[in-house]
Amino acid sequence: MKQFITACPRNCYSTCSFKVFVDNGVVVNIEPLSENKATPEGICLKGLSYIERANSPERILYPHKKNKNGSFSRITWDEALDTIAQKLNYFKKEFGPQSVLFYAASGMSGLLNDFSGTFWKEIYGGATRVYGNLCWPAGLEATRLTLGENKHNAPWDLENAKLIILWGKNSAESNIQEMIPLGKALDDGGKLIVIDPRRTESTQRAEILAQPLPATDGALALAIANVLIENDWIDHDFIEKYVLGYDQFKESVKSCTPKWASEISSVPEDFIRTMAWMIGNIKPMTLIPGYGMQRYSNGGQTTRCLLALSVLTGNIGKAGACWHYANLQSYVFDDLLEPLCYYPPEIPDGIIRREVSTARLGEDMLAQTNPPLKMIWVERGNPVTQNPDTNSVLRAFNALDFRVVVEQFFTDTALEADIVLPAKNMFEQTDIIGSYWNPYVQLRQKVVEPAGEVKPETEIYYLLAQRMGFSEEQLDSILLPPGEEAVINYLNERLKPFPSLTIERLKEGPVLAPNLQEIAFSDYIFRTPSGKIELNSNEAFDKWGANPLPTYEKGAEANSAFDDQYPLYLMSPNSKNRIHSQFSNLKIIRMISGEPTLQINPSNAFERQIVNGDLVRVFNGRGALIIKADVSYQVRVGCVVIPNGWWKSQGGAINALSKGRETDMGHGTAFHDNKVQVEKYSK
Amino acid sequence: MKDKGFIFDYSKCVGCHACIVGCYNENRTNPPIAWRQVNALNDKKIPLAGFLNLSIACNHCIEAPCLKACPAKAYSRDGITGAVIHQPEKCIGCKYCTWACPYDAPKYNPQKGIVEKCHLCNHLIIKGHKPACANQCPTGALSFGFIDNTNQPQPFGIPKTKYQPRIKTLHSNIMNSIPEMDLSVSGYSQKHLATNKSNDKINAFEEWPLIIFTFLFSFLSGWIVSFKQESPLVQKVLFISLGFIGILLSAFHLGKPFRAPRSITNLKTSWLSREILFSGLFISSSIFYFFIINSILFLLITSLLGLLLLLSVEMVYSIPEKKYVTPLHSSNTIITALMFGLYFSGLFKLLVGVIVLKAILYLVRKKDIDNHLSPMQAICLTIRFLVGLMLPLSVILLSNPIKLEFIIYCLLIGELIDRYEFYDDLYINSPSRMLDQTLKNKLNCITE
Repeated sequence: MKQFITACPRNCYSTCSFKVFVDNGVVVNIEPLSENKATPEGICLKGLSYIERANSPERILYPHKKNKNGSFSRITWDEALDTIAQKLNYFKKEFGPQSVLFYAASGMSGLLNDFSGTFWKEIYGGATRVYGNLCWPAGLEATRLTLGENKHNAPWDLENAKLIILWGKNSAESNIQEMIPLGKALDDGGKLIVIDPRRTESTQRAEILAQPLPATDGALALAIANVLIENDWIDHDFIEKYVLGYDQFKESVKSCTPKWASEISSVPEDFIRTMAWMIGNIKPMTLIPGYGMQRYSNGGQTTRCLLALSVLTGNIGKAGACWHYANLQSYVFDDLLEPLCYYPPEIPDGIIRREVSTARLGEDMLAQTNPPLKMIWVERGNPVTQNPDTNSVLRAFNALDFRVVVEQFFTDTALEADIVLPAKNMFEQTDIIGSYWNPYVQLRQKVVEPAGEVKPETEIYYLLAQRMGFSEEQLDSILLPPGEEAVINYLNERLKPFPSLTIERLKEGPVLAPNLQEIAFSDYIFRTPSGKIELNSNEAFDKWGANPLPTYEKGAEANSAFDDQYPLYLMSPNSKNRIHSQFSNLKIIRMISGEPTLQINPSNAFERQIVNGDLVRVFNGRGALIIKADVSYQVRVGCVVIPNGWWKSQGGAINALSKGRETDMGHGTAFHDNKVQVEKYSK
Repeated sequence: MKDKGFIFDYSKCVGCHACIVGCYNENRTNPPIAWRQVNALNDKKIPLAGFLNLSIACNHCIEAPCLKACPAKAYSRDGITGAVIHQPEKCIGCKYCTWACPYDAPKYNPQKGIVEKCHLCNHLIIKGHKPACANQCPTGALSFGFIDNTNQPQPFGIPKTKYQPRIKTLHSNIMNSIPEMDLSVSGYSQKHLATNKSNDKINAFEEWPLIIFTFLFSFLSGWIVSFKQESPLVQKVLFISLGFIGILLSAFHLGKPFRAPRSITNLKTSWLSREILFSGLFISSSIFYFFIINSILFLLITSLLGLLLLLSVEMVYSIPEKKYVTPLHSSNTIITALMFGLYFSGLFKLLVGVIVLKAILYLVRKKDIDNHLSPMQAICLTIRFLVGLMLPLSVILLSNPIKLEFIIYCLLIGELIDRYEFYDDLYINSPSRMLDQTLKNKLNCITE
């Protein structure tokens, strides 16, 4: 049995390091790697389920084509690639290369993903690509506008905090290893405030649980700021030295009284005052906002309001004091960091068309005319269930002439494909990954040969390029030649600027990012236009038309037109059981998380004569789901919850109900503005 | 290594289930069977009460009840690690260990027809490693090490027993941690309060072969006293046939019927083993008495075997918990055998006494059990009491001559129903049941 050290490449905070054991070319077991100080005890249940995932009989191991009756048949690579090459040539000739949409999401991180973009740009001569992102750009942009950069203290620094605020984050499920330093901080006498419409597992040791209505967090934060300023619980020295726009901000929050915020958010005034006292008087404070809150139409401004609390109290750049949103310090290889790389170029290059918004994928795909879209290539993503407004995404897929999906399993998106190509898993090709939480650069090692006839995407593109008339000599300087040797050579090239990083060293375990600040901003250098923390940001106005100051803006569906018809907020948080729609099909995950349910508060259920276990219909003007009710106090009155990531075939794909909308900044996706009605289902 | 066990910290467990997947990877368990479970206390997050999780598998008790209860010697203890090991090739699938264990450790696998269970990753700990579940816990809530159970506050969800489970718990006081919340948005209302219903491992309907077995043998043990040399052959044949039916039913109730002979290999500690042995001896002895040695001595021996059999039956059923609090159940097999014995001996005055005793036991028990009767339960109660007890009593006391045949049918119907109710009154304690009970008690404190 051989042992390797690797790291989990999922779109997840934790990015755990772990040991993997291989016996006779099969991945057989996984063990914790304590060298990673952020994930010392072990990987989560999803990571552990890689054993099943890698060896699942349901895995796609061969190219498939769709038959007329909708079923799939195995085909050879030659047939698959010939068909695709022929289609690509045809579309390019008839409509131009931009008639092909190349769609990639966050299913697997790694530097080699860059070659996909290279293929479309350099080999095919162009394509349409999306701009924006499903996840976190509104918060990233809000932070960038304010602090100049997205970075935070190392995860283990959390244990130094005396006050921790989990604001819309459920670390126990979405970032379980964060519970370790959090627990240590509380053991040392620290206090925990949780602000969340749900009473999650993370609230177990909280002092206060404030449960605002969704999309009202900005108002809550501004009222806390108001109390902080009124009572002079602010850090004048810090503000004087490092903050731009305090006076304007002070002026603008004068009207943001606890009473005002209480009416908007439903959080009682005395809770607001108590929380303000704690925030103003317990130091150091780490404020940890989640990513769900900024997926509302007001997400960027909401994030700026929250961040103002860390700024006013001087809780930045010190041990235990931190704005803990995103830590991009390990992304040392990127020329253009997130969120800037999500934005469409100001001047299009004429090769890659970026006019389709991730947030409005379906609608925008249908709207393309010059040229219209004819084909889509999907890799590392499952847009049918994960992008807003499933129905319009499906319409857009149906309107195309040809669809290729590279996948490990027959997901809802793979089922829409004309040709499905088998995708590699994390054990089948070496790559380098960073993390947006822990500050390590890690090697995701190849530990087994690809199963069946699986080929890594880099090889698929290489073979496709050959079929399009490129010679090996031409290709070797543009794409990655097949085989692991080329991968290592390429990665070595990328590592060259960083003496502390070598493949050999990375094979032994995670390495802290070069030039890492364990305490972010401890140098008090802020890369904003003014060089200061910008509470007042002209860029916010210039770029996004937002108020230069952090302000509370109403959520897109927080109005009476929705309230009457669709009074309940449908929340779609991530659960511990899936990373978006990944893992949902595994036997062990299905055992633990059997079927989708709608969590509904007993009070809302009672009004509708719904009892636990009833089938209910969740609906709005965009779609409907029939789902089992889980009557529970886990969610507050006025909200209902279906965790995202269920597949359509499993009956819980929530994006049938969401709308394609962009966030106020960062080209994020505001699919959490999603109001519904729930009724007892009768056939 | 025998002083090592699981160490579980309530304040660190967030119910993530990684322990279960770790076990799945190491031991290739087949979903939906898992050797470890994560139980929740207040998973509905009822306001004004705290919540916690408990990850629990086999505790490899020093005085393991499964090991003693197993009739087939399918359990053994590792000499070095003290792990209680279940040997699948010896298991007959009687499920009795799942009754004996209050920690819900043995899991019956209906596909395989046998039980399976955590073996403490004996193959790993013997080499100095931790069990997979403890090794994989991402928060450090579950670990493995030296345990010392002195001064341990009552842990949540771990039934108190004399078995000396090898588990130590920490920070159960986390249950008292309740955040300040706004009750008006939490939707809190007493009228909505409903706690989970625990799953009962004993389902009276599914246990019908056992009901028939114990019913038949209490009947036969009473009937045997009336047999003489001149008793009609048809009665003797009926007697023996009923005995064989009982034995066959209990054998085919096993997950592995053809391993039934193994069921008498643990006479030393298992009352189930003894029950099975005595049932066989009782029937064999009856055959001997009927057809070979028709002496009063052999009748006495046979009756004694019957009594030992029924004593074993009662001991077998001393393990499950009871929903009633009376010391005797009205369907106690020895009393039932006595009743039938008196009937067949024609001792009607004494029979009246026993019927009255049964009626009292029945009514007192019914008073204990909660007053929400389902229609099925109400029908059972009515027939059992009126037809099975009051009618025979009135016939004996009022009619002359006594209509013997009528009485026996009434008694049989009544006793069969009572035997069913006996199974319905049994339950097995388990961590999840205990957690539900704890929550109920907490909520009662809150509402008072």
